[in-house]
Amino acid sequence: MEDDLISKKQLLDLTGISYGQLYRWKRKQLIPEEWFIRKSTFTGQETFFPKEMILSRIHNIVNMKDGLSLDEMADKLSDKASFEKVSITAKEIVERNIVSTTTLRKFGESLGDENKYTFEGLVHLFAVDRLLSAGEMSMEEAELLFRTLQEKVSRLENGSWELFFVRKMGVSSFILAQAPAELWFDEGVRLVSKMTYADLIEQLKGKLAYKLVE
Amino acid sequence: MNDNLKIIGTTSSAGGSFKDVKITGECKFAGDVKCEKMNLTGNANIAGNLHMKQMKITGEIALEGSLEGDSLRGQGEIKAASVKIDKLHLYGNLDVKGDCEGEKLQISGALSVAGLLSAEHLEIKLFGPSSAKEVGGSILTIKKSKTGRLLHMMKPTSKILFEAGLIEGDAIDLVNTKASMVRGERVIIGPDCEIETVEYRDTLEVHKHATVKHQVKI
Repeated sequence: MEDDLISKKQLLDLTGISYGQLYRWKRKQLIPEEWFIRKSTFTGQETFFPKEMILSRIHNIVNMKDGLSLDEMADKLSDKASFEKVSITAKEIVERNIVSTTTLRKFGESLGDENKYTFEGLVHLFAVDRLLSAGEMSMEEAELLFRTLQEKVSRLENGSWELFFVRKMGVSSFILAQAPAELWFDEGVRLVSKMTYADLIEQLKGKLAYKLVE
Repeated sequence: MNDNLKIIGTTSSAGGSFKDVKITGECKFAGDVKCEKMNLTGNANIAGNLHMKQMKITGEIALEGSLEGDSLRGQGEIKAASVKIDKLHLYGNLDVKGDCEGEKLQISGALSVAGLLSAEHLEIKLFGPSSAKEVGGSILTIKKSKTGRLLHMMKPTSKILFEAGLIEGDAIDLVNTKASMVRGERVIIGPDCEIETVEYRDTLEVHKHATVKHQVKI
């Protein structure tokens, strides 16, 4: 769990933003209150953030900044609906490096018209692509995962899920759970990867933010 | 919706949505109040939230809920569960049970904020003992009020301090402050400060009448 968090100090070092900017964005609700996680450390109280989400959110803010006021930006970023309206062509997906060509060719067709990918459709492609390109899963497993996502996600309430990819004795399985979920496995199980829907959409939003400012 | 409300004397109101609200005297609102302008001379009590664009106050206002708006200036006392005002200029006392946020906050007097005090530009002229759990923003300045100093000479009491757990900002300039942690780019620790740890990026100045236990350059 510790790996998923980043301290405020590390965050400022990594992104080059200032305290002033961070507090300004917090006031404007560009960074949600829930992301500020307080923990006691040996130096006293420290604030931590969910690493992947905050890094891509800051990347989004910095890249959207030109031409938009902070208030306009807050509206756009918090509004998932504006992303749901986005449609993107196969060519753009490849050019922008959102999903690899291999994944797109293999699974893209099943999502319908190749020139109009929707945000929700892309989330599944994006999830599969991340595991594939990390070399964590085989093509066969990718097929299983994609099918699972397509069939099962709609059954989860409020659409927020977490995915656990585990292997035991060479046999792999995917476990899809309602977020937030915590699972415990027996000793023989190796957790290959874990993904959350919230992380995925946050990253995808970053990659698609340019669509909103065009 | 767009009616004006004018109160002279002692009254109570259910609250509601107004254009301009003018109170001279005392008024108790039983619910939320929303208005464009509020002009208060006297005393107001709101058992809910107040949302306004502009407000002028000479006197006291106490809210059970939050106080939100574009600008507020005046003198007196404000008590609220939380405050969110872009431009706040107050001579007097500010008492907030939760967070106090704004772009430009100027307070001459005393304040007590139980949560986060956050502003782009914060200037406090200390007049009485003050505190905040956390302070965060861009330019943060804490000074001693000149009137306060005069008063202090006539009736010497214990030192007036601003106490905070954590202070974080880009440019921080403090006097009479007691804090466990100060983090900033450019930090000036002035006279009569007691700071456990200062972490700074660019510069740090410490006055000879200040104590800083640990200094860390990041």
